[in-house]
Amino acid sequence: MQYYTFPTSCAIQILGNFGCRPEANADDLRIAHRLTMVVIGVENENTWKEAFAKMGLKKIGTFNKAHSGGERLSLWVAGSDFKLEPQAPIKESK
Amino acid sequence: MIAELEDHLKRSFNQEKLNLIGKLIGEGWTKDVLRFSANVTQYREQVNCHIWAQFGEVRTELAQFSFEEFPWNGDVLVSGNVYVSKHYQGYGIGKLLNAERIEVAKASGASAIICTVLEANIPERKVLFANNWRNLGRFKSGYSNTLVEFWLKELK
Repeated sequence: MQYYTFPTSCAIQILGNFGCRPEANADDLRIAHRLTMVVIGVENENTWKEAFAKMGLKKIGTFNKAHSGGERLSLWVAGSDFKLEPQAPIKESK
Repeated sequence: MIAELEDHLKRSFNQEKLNLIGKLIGEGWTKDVLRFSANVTQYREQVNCHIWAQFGEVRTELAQFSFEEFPWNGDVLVSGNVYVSKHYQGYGIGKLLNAERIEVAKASGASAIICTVLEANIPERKVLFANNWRNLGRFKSGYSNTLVEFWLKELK
């Protein structure tokens, strides 16, 4: 498994290159949790959902892969600081 | 979209002679463009898109944005460095520029764009909301001690 700092926020690490046994990356992921706020990954939903769930990742969004005939991709996140809260109201500060 | 932005600015500033100039800036290269979406597709590195407004002899920077491919997954683009010059803020340019970003991403064959935005950045959050981006959640950054939101735009 490899990490890459998210381009617009150093509090986020992108993870990828899991290899053929994603569950073998659980220890690496736990270390990443301690070092950063949030870890995210984008993968094919059907192939990875069970492995990611075992690793403690939460699915936060799903979308269609372009030009694929219906294949779905999911955005996964790990990090206790991440809140799947309803959108905060957009109000001008006084 | 650039043409639409140009017309919008001509009306807003009552300046018929206004022209927009676009540049793509990558690592070690620069390219003048008339339309970003026709050109950005061939580059796989980070690409910065800059727009200048030219009034006669005077050229001022109007806005910029950048794209970077999501590592290990070219279906997703990360959008960032979105900026409208202070002089041009309040004229609806952010919304038009966001629509241009979406067109650029579609033309590149991507499936989605993701970005982060500070919860305190009300103007950008309004633009994302208006252009049907989805807010996926938020977290408190331990580095900047600020609330950061994740947004996603699916490209259908």
